Amino acid sequence: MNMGLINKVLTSKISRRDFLKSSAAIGAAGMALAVSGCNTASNDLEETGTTVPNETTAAATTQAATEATTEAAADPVAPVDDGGKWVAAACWHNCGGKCLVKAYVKDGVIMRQKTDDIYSDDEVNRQQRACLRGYSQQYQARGLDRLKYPMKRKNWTPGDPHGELRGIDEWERISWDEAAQYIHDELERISTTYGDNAILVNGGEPTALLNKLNINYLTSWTTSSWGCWYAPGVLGWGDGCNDYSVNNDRLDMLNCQYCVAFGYNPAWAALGNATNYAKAWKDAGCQFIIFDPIYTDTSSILDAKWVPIRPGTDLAAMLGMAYVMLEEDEEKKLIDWDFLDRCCVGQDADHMPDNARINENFFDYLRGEYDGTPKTPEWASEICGVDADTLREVARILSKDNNCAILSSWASARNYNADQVPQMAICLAAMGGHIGKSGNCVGPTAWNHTNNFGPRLVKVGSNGGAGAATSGTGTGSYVGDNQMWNAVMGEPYNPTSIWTTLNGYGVAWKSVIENFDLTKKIENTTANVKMIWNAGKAKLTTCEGAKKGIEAHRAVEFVVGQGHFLTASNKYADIVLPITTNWEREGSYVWEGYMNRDIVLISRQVVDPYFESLSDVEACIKIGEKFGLTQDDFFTVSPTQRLFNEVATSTVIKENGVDWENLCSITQEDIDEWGVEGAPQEGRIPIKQFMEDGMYRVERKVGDNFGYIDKEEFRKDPEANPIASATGKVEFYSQMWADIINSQGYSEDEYSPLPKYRPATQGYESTFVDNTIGKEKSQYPLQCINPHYQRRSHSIFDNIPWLREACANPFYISKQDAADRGIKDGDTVKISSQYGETLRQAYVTARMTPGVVGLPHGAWVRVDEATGIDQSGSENYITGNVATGMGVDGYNSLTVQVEKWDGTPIPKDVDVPQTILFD
Amino acid sequence: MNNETKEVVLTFLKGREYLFSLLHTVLGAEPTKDMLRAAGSEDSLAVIRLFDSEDSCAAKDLAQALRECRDVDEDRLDRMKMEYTRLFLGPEELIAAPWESVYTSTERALFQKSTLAVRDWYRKYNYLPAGYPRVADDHISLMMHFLSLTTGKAVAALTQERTAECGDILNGQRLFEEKHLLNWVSRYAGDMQDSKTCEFYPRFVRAVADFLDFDHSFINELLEHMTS
Repeated sequence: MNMGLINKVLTSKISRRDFLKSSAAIGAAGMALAVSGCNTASNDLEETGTTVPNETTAAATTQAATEATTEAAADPVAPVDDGGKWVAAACWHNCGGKCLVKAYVKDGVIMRQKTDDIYSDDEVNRQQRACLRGYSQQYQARGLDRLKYPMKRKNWTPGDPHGELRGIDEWERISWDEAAQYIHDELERISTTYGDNAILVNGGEPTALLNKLNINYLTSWTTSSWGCWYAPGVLGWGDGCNDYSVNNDRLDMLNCQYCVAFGYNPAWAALGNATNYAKAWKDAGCQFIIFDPIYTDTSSILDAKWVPIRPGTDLAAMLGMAYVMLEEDEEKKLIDWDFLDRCCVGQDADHMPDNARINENFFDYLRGEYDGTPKTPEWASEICGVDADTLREVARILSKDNNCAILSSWASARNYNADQVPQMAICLAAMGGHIGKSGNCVGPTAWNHTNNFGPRLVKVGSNGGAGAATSGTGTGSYVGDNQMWNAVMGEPYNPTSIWTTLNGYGVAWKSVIENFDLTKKIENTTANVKMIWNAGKAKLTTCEGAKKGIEAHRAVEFVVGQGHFLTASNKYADIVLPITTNWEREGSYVWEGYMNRDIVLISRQVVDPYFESLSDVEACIKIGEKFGLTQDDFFTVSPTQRLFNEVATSTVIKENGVDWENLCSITQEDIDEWGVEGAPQEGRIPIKQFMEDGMYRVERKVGDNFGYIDKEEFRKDPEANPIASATGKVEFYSQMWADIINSQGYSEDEYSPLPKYRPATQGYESTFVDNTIGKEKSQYPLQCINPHYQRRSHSIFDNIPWLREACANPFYISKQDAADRGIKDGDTVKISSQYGETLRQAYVTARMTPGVVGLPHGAWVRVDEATGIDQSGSENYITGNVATGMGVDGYNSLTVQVEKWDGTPIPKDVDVPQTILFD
Repeated sequence: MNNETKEVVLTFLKGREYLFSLLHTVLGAEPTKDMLRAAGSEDSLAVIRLFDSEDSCAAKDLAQALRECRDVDEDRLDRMKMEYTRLFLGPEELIAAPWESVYTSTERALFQKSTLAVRDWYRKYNYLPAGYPRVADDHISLMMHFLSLTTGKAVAALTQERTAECGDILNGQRLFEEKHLLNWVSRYAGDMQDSKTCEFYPRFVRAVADFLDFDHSFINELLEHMTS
């Protein structure tokens, strides 16, 4: 060590001279810096005086003193009783779960998380435990890659957008005021210059503003969740989402002997308790038979008989089984003729419905009377790949003498031309009489209600409305997801509004279609889209044809993105707005109570907003202010009052299964503490406890009064208790279903009122030359499906390092297909379709049906600009803009080729930067 | 400590107060012409020269980086702004995150336990970020501001003959640097060297990391003279 600086000054004249010069400069330098006008406000400290503005002052000060004065404070984390508190937190994502998440928060820092430790856990009443995604919520809410400030793309200016630079441009930080001004100016210019539908809005968040500004906009509708189970109300069935009284209560399902399921994998697609419920049925003796291209974790857990099947061919398999039931009935008595006679139409010539315009019936179709092709199991086998004997075996299981359920996830109908899969599943169940009886049911099982059906046992109340002062006339008109990017590019699209209004309706569908002339096909139109506003829907990741989507984004004049992260949709924006997560907002009922029927979850604000983020409504108000709107135009009732109203009017069923009572008891002290208006009331549990617990669960027991058997009354007396179909009966022949589909105009040829097999566009047949089975294989010889994946809830959570490490998101390929291509486990492979290319690491497995590959759903598009190849395994970068039948989003219809990638192997996702980086 | 030593110590403390204020400013906001002019002025460089040491190039490197940028043209300023945005603001991936928690926790997240520990330090001296509770306390610029402000308190204490209090503050600063700066800033500066541009910040942050190493030792020197 050389002589210290101080000693040097003290002992050396030269140093002393320099020292004095420097000393003299300090004041001037400090002054110059202070007046240099640099805005460091985001990174300034301020004096707090002696009052520390936080309730944890004492603990914090003690903690600081501990660390600051003793060097032994190796771990600055204080124990649980350190002034922090547990807060019931939202896990608000669009997954199949809905579970209890709690965060321990100290002075705005999340120290740890936990889940349901309030309720007991047994075979009948399960705790609502969080999954791996729920536990990683803290890293989503506080992730480094959250958007922190409004940002503007550097080379975008109004009127000179340089759209070609979207996705690769530099950024500039701007203020909220500047962002609001830009958006105001562009909204005004574009809506005035180009008129209606010049703005495409993805997500409902901006629509309140556009409505008040009287701007008519284009928005998209989608069957992306439901597939062709989008509006089965027309057939008299629930969709399993908006109408969840569609299968039997989970405790009644303990009486089910056989569960024949299609595309059913709640272990991946519906985390939470769905698989537990099914396992209880299995433990009670139910044998599961699962048709799926993948031997899933669900099949493994339930010790199911796995029936490998080709995607998009379920209807053929069902027809083959129906044929066997008809063929073998005389000998084996498989069919419930009484049920068919009383409760069904269209199965044979004697039961044709009055509204039939074609003289064809289902059984004659099975026999091949109309096309010369009996739908034998051998015929079906050639299409679906299931051997004929297996189809015969399952058909016999579906005998009227067995208690059977036919359950279908939405995925099996998430194929092109799968419009009649729901009808066929219902008809197959009807043949064995598996409707309206204990242990028997048929319908979709998916999302939050998976395996737990029946009316709600606890209901969310009303928030009393926002009291907004203004309501405008701006409305949205629709384009389907699968034509959205075409529409932006000026290509024709179908402006249907029928399906968008039928979704989720039961009986009410009849009043909806009265407004439409079903004899005319909807004609295509065009739009002149000049602006895209991406809000709460990550359409560039979750919607088909992302490659074209990027092209569309680069073609318009202005793109706004708002959200939590630089998702693909925000990546290609000109201005991005940072939005709060639910953890930074006033609490709410998670998904407004759309979850399993036994529970409701409620959350409170966990932490303060992250940097400059605002809620979606606050963002709208900021922009609205530039138009002269105020907060009162959006709401006059505070978020806290609305939440209180909602809780106060929530109700829970009484033990008798008929009457209802208030969920919460409320005292005047509670009302004062909330700082709201209200009246004291009696209820099941104190509001304070409910808010602290974050959840209420109705206790179930076998034989209680909360059971539900779907269509039980209909079965007893179908004339007195008709279902919601046009005829009031189960429709083997559905004129209405066919008329609605045909009126849409997506497909040129007509759909039959009977559930006839139609090869899917880009289905199994398309893997052969000329779409002909048996000919040589085509350029794209493999079928690709897009299963839900544990890392993500759709696209949400894809960026979380924890989850990237735990779930690698590989590409699933069978041993045989991999061997044919010289692909080994872990190799980087290129998956190509006619629409695009993507790279992934191969996971070579015997779990995949040969000929079928799996690219999990929801990876954020990450394109190498030099090659145009996606690097993230984004399934929608290689899907196309195709619309058939009802306009279904047929993600599981895609043909691809796979080859070993001879370029640089891609890194594991966990080693890839959290957001998209272009050099 | 005699008066002469005290004056020298005070001058060094004032120099540190300025220098940390400078680092707070340069690391805490997009560059402007006026800021660069002030930061690279002869007065500013003269103060930095106080810390020229045979043991460390840090002060020379800081001075050199600032001198080069004190009179930039619009194009260069624009490139510097882009570099600052890319390295400090996002929204693309931050290859070198200017927050301690990213380097001291297992996840790439803000508002972690180390953030709270840093905030506790601020609270001990009655400070909080102006953006509290929205901003994460362990941003490098905030920490530089903390060192500048507490050095100001040390100056005041020593000026008013509260030598023990001054010593406590310096001891605290030394501990703060150990706990919350020296544990990550070097890695942070290393990560920043992967920047696709090197207009200013990668070099400057490397010099900042070196300066903090130097300063930690220099605090010992100050304390030794105060107790002599």
